[in-house]
Amino acid sequence: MLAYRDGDSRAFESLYTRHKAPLYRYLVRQCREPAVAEELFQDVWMNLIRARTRYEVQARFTTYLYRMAHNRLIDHYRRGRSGVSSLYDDDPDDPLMERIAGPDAMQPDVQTDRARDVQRLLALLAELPEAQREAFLLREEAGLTLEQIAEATGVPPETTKSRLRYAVAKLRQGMETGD
Amino acid sequence: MTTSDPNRLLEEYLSGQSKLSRIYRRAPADEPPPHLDRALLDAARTVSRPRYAGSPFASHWYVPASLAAVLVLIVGIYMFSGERGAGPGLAPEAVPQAGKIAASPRAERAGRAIAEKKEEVAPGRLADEPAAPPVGAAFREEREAGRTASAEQSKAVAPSAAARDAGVAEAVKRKEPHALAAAGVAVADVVSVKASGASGAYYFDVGVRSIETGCRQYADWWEVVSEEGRLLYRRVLLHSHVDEQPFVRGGGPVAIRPSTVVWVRAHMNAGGYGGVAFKGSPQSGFRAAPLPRDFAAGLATVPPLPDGCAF
Repeated sequence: MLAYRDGDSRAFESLYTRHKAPLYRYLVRQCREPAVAEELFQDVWMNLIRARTRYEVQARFTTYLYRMAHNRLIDHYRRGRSGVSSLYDDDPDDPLMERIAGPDAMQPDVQTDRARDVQRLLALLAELPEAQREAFLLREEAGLTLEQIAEATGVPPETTKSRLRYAVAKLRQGMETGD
Repeated sequence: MTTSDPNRLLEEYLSGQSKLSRIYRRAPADEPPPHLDRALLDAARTVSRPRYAGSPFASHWYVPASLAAVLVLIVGIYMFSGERGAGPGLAPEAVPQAGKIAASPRAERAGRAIAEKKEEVAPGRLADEPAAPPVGAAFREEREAGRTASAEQSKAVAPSAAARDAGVAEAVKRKEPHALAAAGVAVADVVSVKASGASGAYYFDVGVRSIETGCRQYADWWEVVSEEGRLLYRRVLLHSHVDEQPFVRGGGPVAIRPSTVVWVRAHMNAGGYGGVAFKGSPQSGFRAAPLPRDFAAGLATVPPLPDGCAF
């Protein structure tokens, strides 16, 4: 990014090539609307291009990029009907946390092959609250650590840990019905 | 899988050895569509300029020289605006004149230069700039003015249909973006068109410039139309681009031959068609051309249409 900031457009191509697919999947799976995800994806990169001259090394570039993406998503939620506060309300004591489809709510069909496992996991992922799904996607797609996820999403590390713990537990619980 | 303590599950997951991760990594490796790749890489290349010429000397004179150039531009534009006596509080009849000045090549170049340098001079200084075209700080000023104007006020400054059509013709003749908008017509101008791909499946990257205030006034699509007025492709825009002007959005595929001549035009939710349109073919390229305002006007109600504006 420093090279691009100083005028090397090939450096941008390198960054873009490396990060475009994970970032795109993060946005698609987080907002669940491909058309919206495309707009957000384009906005994130355009914001990066516009902010290039102000770029300073304060964090790993991946964290910086996903921080921008997270902020853009929050902006999108905020302007939507639901509002960001309810979407990111992940107080473990809140009944909302129990709304995730558990074993009883899942179809008891036999899903033994790999493709069905994948489809089942993606369906469960889509059912997670936004904050938990985001933590999982940042781990899987961006390869961020707990601390980096916390930095990218602007919450304390303990909150991130809690979100990821719930996400993993719910996904595991949901997948068990398919085993 | 067997259920166990959530903390242990998390530890296992973070180690990278969990079955969840293995399954997730088999999920489809979705990627952004090629037209997005092209548009973004083009944008990055377009704005990317070496900050310094390479020599140590260059790094010393670059900043002061830039600041001096900006100061000269600002002073020059102030003098220029003072001569014509046009300020932010223009009377309706003065608006077209302001449009001519705002859209003149010299003012536009000055505005672009200022926008490029806006990080290096005080923001308040730029916001006071009255004659610059709607980019950078001056654009924000114009946008704020637009936000505060009531619907009644908008009607009061809207030109007559004849004046509007004359303005369209004049804008197309001059090929100057924003001439219409400066004349009080909320339209979207196409400012660039690139087609790539192959016969039967071309992808278009279309640059659009419009004065937007949010969902009340924004460019809601661009489209490709045959010479006979048939809609070939429409790229619906899901949100306004208040802070990104001009903006480029890709779309396609468009099923045409390399030599097929088409129109590319944009649509504004508030003002409909009427902005600068481009004409050409993938083979010959595209350029601004006069398009009658009522050309294929009925397409405005033909799907696909926007089903909402996100922001």
